[in-house]
Amino acid sequence: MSVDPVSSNSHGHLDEQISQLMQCKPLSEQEVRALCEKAKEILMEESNVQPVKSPVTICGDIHGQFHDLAELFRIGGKCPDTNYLFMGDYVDRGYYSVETVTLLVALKVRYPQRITILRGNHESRQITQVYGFYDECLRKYGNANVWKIFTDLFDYFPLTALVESEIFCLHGGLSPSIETLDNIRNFDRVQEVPHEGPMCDLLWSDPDDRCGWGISPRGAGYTFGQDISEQFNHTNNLKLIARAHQLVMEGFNWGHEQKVVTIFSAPNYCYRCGNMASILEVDDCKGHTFIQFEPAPRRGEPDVTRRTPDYFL
Amino acid sequence: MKGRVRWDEANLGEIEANKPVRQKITEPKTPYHPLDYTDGSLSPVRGSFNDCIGDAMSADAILSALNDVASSSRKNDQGFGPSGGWTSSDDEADAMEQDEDDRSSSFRELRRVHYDEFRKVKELRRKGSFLEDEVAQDDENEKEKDRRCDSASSLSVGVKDIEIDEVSATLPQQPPAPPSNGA
Repeated sequence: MSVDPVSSNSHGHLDEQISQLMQCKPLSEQEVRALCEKAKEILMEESNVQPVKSPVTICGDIHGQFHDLAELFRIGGKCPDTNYLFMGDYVDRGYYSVETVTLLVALKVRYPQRITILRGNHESRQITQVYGFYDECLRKYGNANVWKIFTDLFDYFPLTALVESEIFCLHGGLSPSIETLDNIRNFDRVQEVPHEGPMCDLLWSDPDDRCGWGISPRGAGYTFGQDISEQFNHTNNLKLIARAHQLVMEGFNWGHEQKVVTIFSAPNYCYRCGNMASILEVDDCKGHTFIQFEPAPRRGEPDVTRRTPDYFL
Repeated sequence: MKGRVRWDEANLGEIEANKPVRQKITEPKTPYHPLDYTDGSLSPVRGSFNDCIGDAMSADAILSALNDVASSSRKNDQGFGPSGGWTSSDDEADAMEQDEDDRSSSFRELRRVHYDEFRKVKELRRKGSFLEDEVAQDDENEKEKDRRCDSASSLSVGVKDIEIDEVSATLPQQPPAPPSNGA
């Protein structure tokens, strides 16, 4: 890490900001700007395949559900007591994208070695203009400056992480243009998520029951079958691909004969889906445990009664 | 007690005690029940939600509804046996498994519809309602940028959809409109 150790004075300031954010109170525009400048320096040093050590807790989509992120920290342990790896989609759809992403970035700046924040397909200028983050910034700050600051920072987020050389973590999935992890290490990620190509695929693809590569119904990325996952894991000496990107009712879902797992960390997604959330704890001995959780009760959000799983979305 | 109905209470009790958990059927599957939610019907439109948007009742939908009826009546026929109209536990298990499959594929279908994010963005992009090209160039002109951001058409799209979402969230009897935007 080439970043100079931050002075204890500014630690104190940052700690104050973090405790303010933990109460779901956003920072000022000036504070966000200063925070993101520091974050950029840290993130730009990270690899496209950022190495991560165990023990670490791997998390999926959050989507602006701030109170559920707070619940996640209550259940998984506070940062830095617990190391975290988040696999993207911090913003959009929920009501507190600003507080959610600011908190995670603040934790990254405060504890750069303790938390890894990957890029999801929603960490993008275009998607956030449609799915809520842009509008939320306008509403909370009166202009789009904070949106601009964050979306510029998103370009620096690493795309994938590798836990103890055996669990490959990313938001979406595999790409037909990528055979090895070195392929990923080699491209220039600092840009808006392209509409096609390997970088797009990593953030958009989904595993599928069908073999081989398929056209994604999403219109971006691909679907990939068990044969593809097996080949990729074998080529790169991996045990598992951990990814997020899809709502799964139990919070996690094994696929491809345990070569792939989907982790989703937004309980009662969109305040209506009635799904569980989960996080994956990988311990020192590389053993893993899923912890499921439900939304914490709270005020100030639509209190939609849990529906039956098939009456949703 | 001649001439009066006498219930076999013991048997009834036993049946009640051994009653399996059953799914509540909310939608009668019949070709006569129009899959049209504009009439204020409370019937949830399941699975085939998307198919119903365009032509309220396509020939395919009628055909599949008829097939459903045919296959379910066939199933019932098999169920009539020595026990006199009770479906056997095997049939029950089959039905539940079938139900599970239906629910799983219905879930996947709804999820697929929900994740149409890229297509939506592409469509809006085609209509030219995005900032990104302007934003990339106009760092030198902050005021200009703010003005454009404030007047962006995507804003009204997002806010409108959040409102829709909030309304539908409090009205569970509404058809399950996918929260494609906002909340």
